[in-house]
Amino acid sequence: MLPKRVGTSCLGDGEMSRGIWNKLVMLITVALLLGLVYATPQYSQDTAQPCIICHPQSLEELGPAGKYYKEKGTLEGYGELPRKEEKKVLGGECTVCHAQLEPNPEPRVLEGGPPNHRFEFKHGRGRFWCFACHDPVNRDKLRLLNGTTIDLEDYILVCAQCHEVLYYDWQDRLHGKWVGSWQNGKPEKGCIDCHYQHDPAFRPIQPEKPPEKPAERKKIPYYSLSFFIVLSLSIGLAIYAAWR
Amino acid sequence: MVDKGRRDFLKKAATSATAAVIPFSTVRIPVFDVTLDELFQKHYQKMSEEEKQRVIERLEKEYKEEYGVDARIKTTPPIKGVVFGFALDIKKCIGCRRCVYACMRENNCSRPSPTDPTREEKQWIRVIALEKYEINPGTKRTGIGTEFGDVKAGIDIETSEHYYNPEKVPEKDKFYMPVQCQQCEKPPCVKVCPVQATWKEPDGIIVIDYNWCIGCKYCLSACPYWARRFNYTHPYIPKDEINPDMHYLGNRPRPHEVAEKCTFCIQRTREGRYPACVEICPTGARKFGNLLDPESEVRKVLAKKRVFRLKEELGTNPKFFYFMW
Repeated sequence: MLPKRVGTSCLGDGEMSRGIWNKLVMLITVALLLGLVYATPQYSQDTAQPCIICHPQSLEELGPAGKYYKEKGTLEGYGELPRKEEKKVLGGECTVCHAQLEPNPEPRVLEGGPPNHRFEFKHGRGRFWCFACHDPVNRDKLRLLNGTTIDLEDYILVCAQCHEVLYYDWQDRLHGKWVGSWQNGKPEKGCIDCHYQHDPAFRPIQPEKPPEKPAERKKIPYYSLSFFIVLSLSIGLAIYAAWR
Repeated sequence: MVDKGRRDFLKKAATSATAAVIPFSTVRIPVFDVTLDELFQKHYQKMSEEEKQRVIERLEKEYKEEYGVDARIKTTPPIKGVVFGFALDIKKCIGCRRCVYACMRENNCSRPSPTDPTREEKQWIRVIALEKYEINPGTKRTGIGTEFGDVKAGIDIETSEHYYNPEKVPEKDKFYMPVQCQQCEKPPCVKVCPVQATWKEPDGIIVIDYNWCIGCKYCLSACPYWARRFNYTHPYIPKDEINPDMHYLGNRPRPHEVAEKCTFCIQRTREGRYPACVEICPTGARKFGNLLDPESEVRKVLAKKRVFRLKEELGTNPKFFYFMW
């Protein structure tokens, strides 16, 4: 209905049409704004998550999680993001959301979770759930088997509870990769700098090409100096014989 | 006055004579492909510091002409109180061959020339894939007669191969074992060298004076680990891939027809750095350190792990240890 009216009055007097143009521009702007507003809670609607996951303070202001995912592009591309960076940005910000959520100790597939929870939990092959390591009360802390809570930075103690041999090997620089100097090395990298804590096994990688077999090299066409000497000699001989 | 004039003349004559001699000694004699400087160069261990410096200047000039790089050739002496040892975790090695190519780049090894088939690649590290083999059941005649199924066990070096090329490594039921120079304490290659062009340094590294080597290849056949390589032709190194950080006894570009081998990256380790293969290994399977320091990585391996040495029964006493768990 609206475009028809705009179309007819456009041909009429100028003032009227200008007023309608202004209204039209306003309408389009409002529609666009509405669309934007509608688009933003789409994620919230799809995943049944509260808005505070990205906007912890107010709707206008993005929290650290929201800023991080805005910088890194689409939410779908999450799987490609480096895990270490995520740890740096989001570590210590868990309570922002989890203070509002009830802890659910039942092992389940986390469907429609926020992007930092979209991973396949393979550590322990189904023996554990989040609260084996994370503190259910304060999600910015980790919990040891004896119930003590520790900071996220001291995560190595959590790993060392089960992987004791690897822990001592790491202290002696036997487990893990070291670069720099053989003279004075100290542990610089921790467990989760190389292993992803929720899926710690490494995948098979592509090997470099094998050494060349000598037989393959012989296929390269190659004429040595002696070949040319023999060739020129035989041609000369042939010419000499023909000439005689 | 007359005397002084004569002295001046003599001085001038002498300097001009030496100036005439120096270029002559650097002229390459065509048939023998050698200069007088090269011909009269002494053994590395018998050279004085000035002589070494002169040789290095000559070599740097040569490399500048051939490869267009400002190479820095070092003669870093061994560090006192250090004997190098190497340990390799064969459980962790996945056979990705990253070390092989890092070694080639670091040590200016010959690359495969795209036009000349005689200038082939030289790799100092050989990664072999060991397959499990089936257990041979005993027969009734030997009195055992056990029935085995398709049980596979053990690893067999004899049937190993280093041309393996799967899509992804590690493959199932396979072990990988990088083999390189084992820096033996009783090196058979040193024993057989007729001109003593190869010797053991005080820090345990076996080195070669490439300019003293006559290319008889005795050391290649003497080495039970197949660790030595021989440049049958002039090595081919692309100009942009040359490593300008060189050591006289280590990774400088070799002349043709000399033997070469792993030196634990002498140009790096004598300055306190890790060898190139240790730095590149993605799994951290390679461990390197000082055998005389009880706190070093290698000594920790020897203290804590189950260690074996390759072909231990030959009595070569390698300083390269394989371990697991």
